[in-house]
This record gives sequence, structure tokens and C-alpha cells, in this order.
Amino acid sequence: MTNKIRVTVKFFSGKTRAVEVEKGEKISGVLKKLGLNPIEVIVIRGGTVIPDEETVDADTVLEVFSVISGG
Amino acid sequence: MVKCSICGKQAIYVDKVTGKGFCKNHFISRVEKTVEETLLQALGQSSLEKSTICVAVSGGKDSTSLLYILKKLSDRYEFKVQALSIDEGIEGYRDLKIPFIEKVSRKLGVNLHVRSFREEFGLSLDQMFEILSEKGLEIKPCTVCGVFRRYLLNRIAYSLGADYLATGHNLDDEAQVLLLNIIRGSIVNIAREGGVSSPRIHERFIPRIKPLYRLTERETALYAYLNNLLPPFAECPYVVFASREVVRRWLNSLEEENPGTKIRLIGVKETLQKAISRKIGDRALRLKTCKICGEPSAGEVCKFCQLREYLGI
Repeated sequence: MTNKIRVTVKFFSGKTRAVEVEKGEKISGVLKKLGLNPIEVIVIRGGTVIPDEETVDADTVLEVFSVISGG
Repeated sequence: MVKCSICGKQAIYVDKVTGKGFCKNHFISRVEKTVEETLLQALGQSSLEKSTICVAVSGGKDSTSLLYILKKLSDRYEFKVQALSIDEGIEGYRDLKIPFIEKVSRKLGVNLHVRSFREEFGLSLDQMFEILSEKGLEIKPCTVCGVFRRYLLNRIAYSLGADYLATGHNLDDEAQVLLLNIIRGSIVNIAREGGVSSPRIHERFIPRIKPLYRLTERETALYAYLNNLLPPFAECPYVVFASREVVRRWLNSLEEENPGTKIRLIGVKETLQKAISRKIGDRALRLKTCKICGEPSAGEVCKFCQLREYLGI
């Protein structure tokens, strides 16, 4: 039995990406898997900001926006 | 669940240096308290009271949050807040930010003064970029933009009788500038960069204050998000010319691996500044008067006048 779960990450730019991670992975791990530095983004789950120390469950949907100013 | 270290509610943010979590309310109050303490330590309550602070508002998350927090603090410490904004003339970028700045200023009840490159210098930055391109881009648009913007902000703040010109520079900006100055070998600029506040180094130079000096870019972004202060997303088309981007990404990688890197760099900067000032003397940091425009200048002719001549305007 696999421990892999699927997490969907929606970016404020409109793009969506899905990623497979181990069950109980921290949000920081999900972000790193997508090539993102956790300190460069803010993560929202279910309309609430969450720290990247939180873990993800199956079918978790995360919204992510960049903290870096565009100019 | 990560808990708030103060009230035990669900945390929305964890300070990786201390490991402490904060709920929404305690995160907001921590940011505001940090700004308040930064201001009081740098200026002292007596200098703050009855002063006029002009806030340079670019319409980004930092300067917008700064305007919002200073307006909140202005009642308690009885200082006046005015907003200054520069329209550089960057199509698809600045024209999206100005209406946002106007909306926020109106909502806060703050006087907003907008000046444009086109009105002041006859050309927009987009038009100046064409001239720079014809000359082979020896000088980057970001250099022109920065010099012209700082020149105008200081001149307007001076004309408004401001005691301080507040900018939205955060901890990330400060650490990045330190590294850039080291890479460029600009020792005097390390000292001239100043700390939270800079002294009046010329009669026409309005002392700068950086109240967000001890907050990271992530903290100011989160504060802006939680207070509905996030600006419309727009990326400056000239960002590709900004040498700072490489340093920013590198520094963030270091910070992720070694939390506290940025704040330690600022500690190093402050130590270096004292050592450099002792070595070269405070007089060397004072600004001269530009022999062309009469504004504060590091050399005989200020960067603004040099660039103006280069552009033929």
C-alpha cells in the first residue's frame, strides 16, 4: 500500500499544479518539490493562511502567492 | 496544529528564528509593535511628536503597509503623515498602481502628492528607455529610475516641510543592498546607507527613516494580505535589468537553510558602518551641493544632473 498522496497547488497567477508527496509531508516539503522557496511564498488552505510547518492530507488544495514584489 | 505562542490558537505564521508561532491577531500586533519600537528607538518619542512624515508610496505591499501602520501610529504620537508617489511613466505597471495608491490614501484620509517624470523632466521612463537603448544600454533603466525618483521624492518632501521621508525598505532590502555594496566594493555607500534613520547630511536632504527595517519581506507581505492592502499584481517590465534579483534569490536560499541570516547581516552592517565612519570621519559622509541644480550630491555634480545630460533632457 502506497503512502503517496496528491496535493493540488493553485497559484495566484491562475496556474494550477498537482504534486505527489508522502502522506504527512510538511507544506515546506510540498513547496520545495515544486521548486519554490517557502520563505518566498504565503500559503492558504481553506481560506486561512497556514504556516509551512503544517502537514498535508490527501486531496489537500493549497493556494500560494509570492511575497516578492514585481518590480 | 502549530499554535500561537501567546494565546494557543491556530498559528498562521512561525518565526523561524525564534520558533514561535503567531495567530492572525498576534501576528498583526507583533508587526505593528515592531514598527513602533523601531521608530521610537531610532528617533525618540520627542522627535516623533509633532513631526511631519512623508511616506514614499510605490503602491507595493511594503510602502502601502507602511502608510497604513504610520497612519495608525500618528494619532498616538501626534505626527502628521503625507503620502508621496512618483509616476515614472511605465505603461502596464505604474498606471495600475496609481489608482490603488489613490484609493488607499483616500480610505486612510492621508494627503497624497503625485508627481510624474513626464511633467517634471519632459519624458516618461518608457521614453528614456528608448534613448538608453539607442546608446546600447550602458546605463540600465533601473539606475535612471532610482536616481530620478529619489531626487523628486527628496525635493517634494523638502517643499512640503517634511521632517522625515519614510520608505518601505524591509530587512530583505537592507541585507540585499549590503551584499550589493560589498560586491561592488562601495565601502562609503555601506556607511552612507544608514540604519533605521539617517541624519540630515545636507540642509536640503530630508532625513530618511525605514520603519520596516526589522521586518522581512514575507512578514510585510503577510501583513498586507491580512489587512486587505495587497496591490493589484503588476510586474515592472524593467525588472529583468535589476541586478538585485540574483542576490535576492541567493539570500533567500541562505535564509531558508540558516534562519536569521538576514538579521545577522544587518548586525554586521551596523558594525561595519561604525568602523567605516571612524576611519573616514563623519564629514566624508556629508553631502555636497550640486553645482548645477543645487540639490544634495555626493560629488560636485549630482547623479541626477549627470544622467539628465546623458539623456539629453
